Amino acid sequence: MGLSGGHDAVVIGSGAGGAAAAWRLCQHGLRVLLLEAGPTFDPARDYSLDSPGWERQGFPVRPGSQAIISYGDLGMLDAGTEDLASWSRAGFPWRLPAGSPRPASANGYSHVLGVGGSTLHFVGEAHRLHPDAFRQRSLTGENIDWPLGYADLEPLYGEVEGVLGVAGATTDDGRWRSTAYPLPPHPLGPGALALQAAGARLHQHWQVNPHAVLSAPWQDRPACNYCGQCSRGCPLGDKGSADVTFLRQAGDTGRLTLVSDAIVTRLHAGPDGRIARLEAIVAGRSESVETPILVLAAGAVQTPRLLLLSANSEMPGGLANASGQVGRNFMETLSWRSVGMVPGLKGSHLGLPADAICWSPAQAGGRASAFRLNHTTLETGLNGPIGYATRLVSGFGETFKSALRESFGSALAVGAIGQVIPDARSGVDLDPAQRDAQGLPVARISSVLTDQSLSLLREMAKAARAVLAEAGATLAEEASSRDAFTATHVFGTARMGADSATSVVDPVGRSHDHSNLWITDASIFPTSGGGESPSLTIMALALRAADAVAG
Amino acid sequence: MDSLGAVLDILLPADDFTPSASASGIERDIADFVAESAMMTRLFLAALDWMDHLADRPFRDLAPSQQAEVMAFMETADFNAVPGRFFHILRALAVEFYYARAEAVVGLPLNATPQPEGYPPPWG
Repeated sequence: MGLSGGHDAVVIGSGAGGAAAAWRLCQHGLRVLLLEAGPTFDPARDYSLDSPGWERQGFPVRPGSQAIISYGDLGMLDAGTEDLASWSRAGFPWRLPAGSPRPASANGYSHVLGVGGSTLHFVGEAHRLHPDAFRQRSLTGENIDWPLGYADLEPLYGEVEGVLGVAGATTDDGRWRSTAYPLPPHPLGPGALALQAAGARLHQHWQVNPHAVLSAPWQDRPACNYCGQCSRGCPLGDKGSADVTFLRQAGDTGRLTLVSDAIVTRLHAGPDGRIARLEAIVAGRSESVETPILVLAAGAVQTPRLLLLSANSEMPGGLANASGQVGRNFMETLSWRSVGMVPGLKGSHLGLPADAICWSPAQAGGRASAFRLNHTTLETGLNGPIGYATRLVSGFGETFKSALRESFGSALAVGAIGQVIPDARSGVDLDPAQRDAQGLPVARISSVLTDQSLSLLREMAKAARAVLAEAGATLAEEASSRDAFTATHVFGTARMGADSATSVVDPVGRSHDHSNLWITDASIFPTSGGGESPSLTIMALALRAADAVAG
Repeated sequence: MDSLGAVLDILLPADDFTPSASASGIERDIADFVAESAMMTRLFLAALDWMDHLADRPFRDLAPSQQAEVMAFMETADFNAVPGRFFHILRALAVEFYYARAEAVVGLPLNATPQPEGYPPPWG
């Protein structure tokens, strides 16, 4: 199999950023070779939501769909934060004592290698960053500014929403829009309505959460039938994952060559500073591929890893790393979850996962204490009996079985995600000891919760507990980043900026060091935002970079 | 492992809607799962042996009220000792295998599987 020749650009990674970039480049008439490290998933075969036992399965794992990740310094469990410790009414009555190292959870860095990347298991939240999040330094004196503003991305956000088929309701939360959402909002489920009513009494403004999930047929895709299992893989194609949106449409141009199970192992810079070629393992064979233009979109863990793996005698710190910022500024997902049981509530397992959201007032003004709350009953797996039996309903015997039946549909879960300020101890580097199947060092994640993060976690817990109490809930479970590293959204390891001394890429995503290298994933985010899911922003940035590539 | 079925039926007995654990066949699932781990096998053998020597008869031959009394003790026992740890691990395995079966979902406001019907609104 020869991959060289016949293409104008090479894209590494087919998730949110790679797929959107490939689509745009194809639109501009470029012939694109897209290399995806993972396999192609077949929804009919792989997403077994029509088989008994579905609740035991998460998103399917196939050969090559999970990268090996190791963990460095994740901080320590402090006795002073025991009030944030995880527990559940029916779970194991044991937890790590204070003084223990904070471990990675079973999921750890939760990701998918595959055609469509981690959009395959996202629930489709389609958030625009708050305009003030781009100007945090200017507004608050903290953290840094983005080298671009909301107005630069606004038209692109609209375009992305059209490709995905985003359903939402226009509300005045500061994220101004020049175009309406393509599709009407999804109805709120019973759990979301309960939170909306309780939140209103506390001046928490709960509203429809915009989703890249179809509320009506759109283009060639059907409407959602609310099975509630988005994170297990969408068998209908109504969820706007990259495989059924950007990649399908890019394929329709006839200019996309997509190769799955293609593991890029090294980039080579030429004497002119441009990235001349890459090495990849495809179907067990080594390939050398020319890179007239290279778009790197492997995510905030694998992107810095590949740049660091590509070090040479002239660039011993890795490619694109004259600033020394590759792998630094890592930001994890700062998360909290409170779950309560609400007597009389019925049907909380119905609706769309994460159907309602409540932005904290700190979003406006770009404050570092910004976070969001969302209704997470379905997303956290409380839409089946195993979830109830293992986490919420304790006991055994007939009493237990009866209690499970009577309480099913009355669980109410509030999730929260907050901003993370990068810390000098946090980053992605190459593990000096552990290697992958190719014999290459794996990515090692270090991520330490700062006092600022722990303080924000407490604020998030307070807000989540308050709305649950107002809804009449009795707490039955809580979990958070305090006890274990779990991250779905990761950022910052090749950050963008105008100054080449302090950033890896420029304001349009182009490497300061290599003129034909572009990065279009969340590694370029200078800040994490205030709890927004990043996929929409990644995609908008990818379109912007692709437009710049095409001139 | 002779008493495993009896232990499971105390955890998950038959009722008006659903079968007992042993009738649903999860004893085999759990035995297979445990057999894959030497450490888990040791825990199960130690715990079941302990349960079979609490009286002059093995656990499976105790009166139902006595069996329930033993299980209630184990539920609140130290998780770092064999009885407590065994109870919670067995319970977690039992409910996971049991409620993965279509016949166990009877009586809940759920389809046997999320697809193909889904749960279209209205949900009120």
